[in-house]
Amino acid sequence: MKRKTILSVLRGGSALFLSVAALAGIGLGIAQTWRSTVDSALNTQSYFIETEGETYKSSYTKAEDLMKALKDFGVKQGQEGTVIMKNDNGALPLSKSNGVALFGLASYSPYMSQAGNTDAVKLRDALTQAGYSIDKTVSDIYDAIASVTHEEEGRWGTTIVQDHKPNTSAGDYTNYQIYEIDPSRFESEFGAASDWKSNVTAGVGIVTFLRPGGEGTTYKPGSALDMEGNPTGKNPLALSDEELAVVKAAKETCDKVVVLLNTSCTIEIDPLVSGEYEVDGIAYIGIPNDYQFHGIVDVLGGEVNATGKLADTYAASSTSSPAMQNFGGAYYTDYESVCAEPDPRWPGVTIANTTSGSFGGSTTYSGGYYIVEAEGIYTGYNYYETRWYDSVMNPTFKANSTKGVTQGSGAWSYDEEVNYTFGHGLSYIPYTERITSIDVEDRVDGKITATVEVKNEGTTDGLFTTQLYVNSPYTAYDRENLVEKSAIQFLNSKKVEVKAGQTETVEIEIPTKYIASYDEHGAGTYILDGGDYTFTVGNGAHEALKNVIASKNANAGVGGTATNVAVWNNGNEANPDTTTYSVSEAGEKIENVGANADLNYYLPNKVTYLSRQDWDGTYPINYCEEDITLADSPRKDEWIRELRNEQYTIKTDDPVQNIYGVPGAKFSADEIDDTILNNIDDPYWDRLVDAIPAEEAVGAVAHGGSRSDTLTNIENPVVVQNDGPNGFNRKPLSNNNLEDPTTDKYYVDPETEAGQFKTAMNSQTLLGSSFNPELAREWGRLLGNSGLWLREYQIWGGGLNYHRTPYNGRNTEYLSEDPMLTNVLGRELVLGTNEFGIINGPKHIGFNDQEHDRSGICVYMNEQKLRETDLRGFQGSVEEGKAKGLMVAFNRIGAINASHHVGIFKDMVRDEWGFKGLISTDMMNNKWYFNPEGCIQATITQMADFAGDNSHLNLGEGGVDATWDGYLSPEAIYGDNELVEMARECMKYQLYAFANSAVLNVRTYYVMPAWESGLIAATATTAVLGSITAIGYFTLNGLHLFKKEDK
Amino acid sequence: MLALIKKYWIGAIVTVVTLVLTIVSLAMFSANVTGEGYFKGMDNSTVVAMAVLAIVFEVVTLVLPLVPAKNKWVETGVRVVSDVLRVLIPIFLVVALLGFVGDRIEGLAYIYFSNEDVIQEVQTPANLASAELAINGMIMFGVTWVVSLIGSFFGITRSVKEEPKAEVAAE
Repeated sequence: MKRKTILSVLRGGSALFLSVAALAGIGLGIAQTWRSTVDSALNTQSYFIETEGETYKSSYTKAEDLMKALKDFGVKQGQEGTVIMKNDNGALPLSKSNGVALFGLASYSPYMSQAGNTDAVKLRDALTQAGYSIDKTVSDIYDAIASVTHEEEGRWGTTIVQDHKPNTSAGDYTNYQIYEIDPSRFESEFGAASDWKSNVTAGVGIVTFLRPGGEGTTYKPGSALDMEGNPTGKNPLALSDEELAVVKAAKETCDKVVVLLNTSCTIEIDPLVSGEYEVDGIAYIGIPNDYQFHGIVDVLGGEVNATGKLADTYAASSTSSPAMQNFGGAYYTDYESVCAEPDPRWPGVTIANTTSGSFGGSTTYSGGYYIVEAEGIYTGYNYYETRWYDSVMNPTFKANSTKGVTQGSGAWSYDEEVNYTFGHGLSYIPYTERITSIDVEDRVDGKITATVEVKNEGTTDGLFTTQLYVNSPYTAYDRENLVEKSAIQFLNSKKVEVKAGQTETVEIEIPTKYIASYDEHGAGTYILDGGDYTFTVGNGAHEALKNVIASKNANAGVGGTATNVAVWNNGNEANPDTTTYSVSEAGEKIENVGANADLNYYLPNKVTYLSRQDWDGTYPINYCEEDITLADSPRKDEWIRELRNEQYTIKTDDPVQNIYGVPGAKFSADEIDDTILNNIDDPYWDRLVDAIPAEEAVGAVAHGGSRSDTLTNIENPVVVQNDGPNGFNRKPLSNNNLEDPTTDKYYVDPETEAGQFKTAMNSQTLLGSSFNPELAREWGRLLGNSGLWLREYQIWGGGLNYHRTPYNGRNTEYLSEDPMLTNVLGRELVLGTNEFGIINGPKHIGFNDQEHDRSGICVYMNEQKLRETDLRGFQGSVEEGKAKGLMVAFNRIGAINASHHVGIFKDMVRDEWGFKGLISTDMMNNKWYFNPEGCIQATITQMADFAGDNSHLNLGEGGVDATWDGYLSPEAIYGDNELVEMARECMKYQLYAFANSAVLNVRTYYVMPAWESGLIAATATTAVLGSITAIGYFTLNGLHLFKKEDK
Repeated sequence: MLALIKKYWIGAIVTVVTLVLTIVSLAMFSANVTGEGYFKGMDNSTVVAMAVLAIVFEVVTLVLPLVPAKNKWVETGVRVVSDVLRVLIPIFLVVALLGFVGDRIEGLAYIYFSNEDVIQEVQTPANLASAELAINGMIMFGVTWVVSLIGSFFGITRSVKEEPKAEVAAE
């Protein structure tokens, strides 16, 4: 071979081998960063989990039993969550002999939160399997509609897409097209016979309407589009003309019509309640999961009694609550001032102050938008019922003002504004409930016990729901100090089986502290007013309030049962108790923590909060239409700092005392005995975190998402985080089998149905409308068992935000408009999970009130709202439920990134509520919005960056942090001992949570997967071959050169 | 000069193609950084530096044959420098490719493989266009890398023996 040919081959070989070596080597690094994703895609495993103890054991010895229990739960949740809102003319229960005709696209394609099992059922399947005959005339038309498809070319090939299907994306505060086929098109476009209506033989027409939701979605008031895509000016939650046409067609063809509401966002159903489009029955079915439709059909058919209750008020107008006065957000008039000065943390970077969108991606502080929640505590039924109460009982409060009227133009009228209130739900079996006594333990750790008699007035045995409410005094002190009170407050509920004609006595308990009110301006703590506390039970807030009114004013003429109350007196109204509830159960003095969440903090007297003493004068204005100017603030500089996310400045003059960690304590069941386990103040925990090198302690918080990372010296376990509120998403039961089935007590044959069974079986919407804390406990236990079988020990498994308005698409993941219903269900959910050692972290604390601009919108409110609405929903899961995890919301609270808010997390959640667990940010999607130093100061233990084993501050170019590369590095934090010690404290919380879970009893060990060894081998081999060819090339050239020289 | 240009061989043609492809790849990356959508603002100095160096090396490789070979030492030196650059070019290109991939992988996973709710919202036209451009840019970097590898097996100029009057015989 010629020399030059050999040189060409050697050159080409060098290029090939060395670049493949680079490809394999760098690719290895990327793959290691995304290890869990690569493992999942290639069906390999890098980490195996070995159980070393039996502290937590599954209740199930066979996976098949767990699978069956999960399926049964789905059915039960459908049974208990379905709410019969209206039932006239004997429309329900359905009769199997009558047949049903299914109208509306959603009857065939409902909106579901599917676990993903192959035997999941939709409405038609469930009805058919239950023995109902589905009218073929109508179903054939809808099948013809569904068969109209077109091909769409995509990157991954051609897909077949249905032309006509419900719109299942609410969109990000944009137009929403309500997709429904007007039956007038059936004949001309879908092949229906001209006399199709007369061919329908079913006795009952079922019409299903859906409104979707989901992450990143927010409805926009007035944004509905018609089928041609033209704006109608109507609300997206209002029924469209096409939907009403479907109702009309159903009424024309069937004797009775029942409408099913498939949504988490309350639909405006006023036209269905009376008038031309009135239907016989209305039922709420939430957003079912795989098997819930079986249970829903059981309720529709009367196989079980209807016990579901509305977790949200159905108002005639979805925009009639005062909260809707301030929704969506607006921009500060002089936002440019926030970005005017260069940011020393980011030299040379231009940082805007725009929105970053729901999923990040822009160089921005994400601080430009704000909303003002001027409605205070009056959201949902707390508004409608309190205003009604005052219209009856307190005429001087001007509740009959025209402010907030959406139905007509006269005085405000409850009957006009509200269709179905919170807690409403009809029972097939007649029953009565009567409160017989109340016992109040008047101390901060005391409880209220109500005794209630539930009598089955029917002829069949059944399950019944009883709900406990309280009316608290609204005193002169309250009015003077702007302490607001809902006229009726839900406290707790319980379900009970009662035999026909029999009576059962139940006790309903609730911590007493939840009837205290927060007095921001007077005592600066919780107070319990003097006066009468009237407890009652009823089928919903309105019925309960009627009892209260009847007991107070026999001549009010609103109905109700005056004797169905139990009164507890707390002394003279003039003497509120300002001490008993001013110290938390954890022993912490309770004080204001959110003064800076109030816009009035920055702009004094700017906001008038709604106060029931003057409905007319304080009904909120829309602050989005006001000029909010930073420059007008006497605290302008502070305000701008907060908006620039400068909550903590890393010091340079406080040298770190312990840079490299002091090896000693290990994270091991052998070292952590019960004394240590129960006491985070035990010296062991300090020794453990002192062993972590300084930059790793900060790095573990900064890069702690997706999974915990292995830390030097302490042999901590790797704990993978899972989502979400419905359970462990997507993972079949065989997902984490050990290599050796003979040593694996949780081995599930992947070839079996159980092996492929997916466990995310919950429906938050139906859990909410079940009103059954025991069902929440049952789901918690199933979640815990699933975690043990899946070997997944941490989950963000509870969405506990409240529904401030119906317009938040994320309501799909949350339970109710009522913080207390959320509180008690969340508490039981977490307690159930705790029994099996699974860390269940509720999310998104707090005030994820809209997804639009969620990444950074400033949510302004007063302290009473802060404590008694959204955070109240989480409080039960922390204080009573002993949760070991929490996930923070994206938004700001006031001007401060919620994840940086020291007042909320350090002062309230940790010190006041006594929370010792881990706290994560939501997805760390914007490094200019989130920063590690701000999070660490607020005691956040991990920032969700979704990468792998990367708990270091030197993984970026030049040895700086890979994300916060403008200013963060090991050297940068070595001058701030306080920050490092706070980071170690954060890691202490994280490790303490792990120790108090099933994680303590598992050992994580690493086995190099095939892809990793393959890449390492490829890197080494090609590097060697590249070197050989390069050496050969230079050798040949040298020989050639010197050979010539010799000549 | 014309005679010199005639001396260019397959390797030179492939290098020109590589040069054009590299410029296109870099342009696509830049468009991805500056254009609207998910990856707006997601710059990466490694990608830019590697691509720019590859372009410079490609140009130098094409220009080097014009250096007069005054003696055998110069001739060999020029050839070795040219060859080393041609080995480095595909390495730089693959490093740029991986830098691009490493920066975009999380976003792409988010856009294409999130749960249904997220997909419905994150797959906005702007984000999808941004993701498509990122994928096309990566493919372009990959193609450029492969072409550069192929080119590295061919000489830049024809063999001296085939053209005895050639002044330079750099490969």
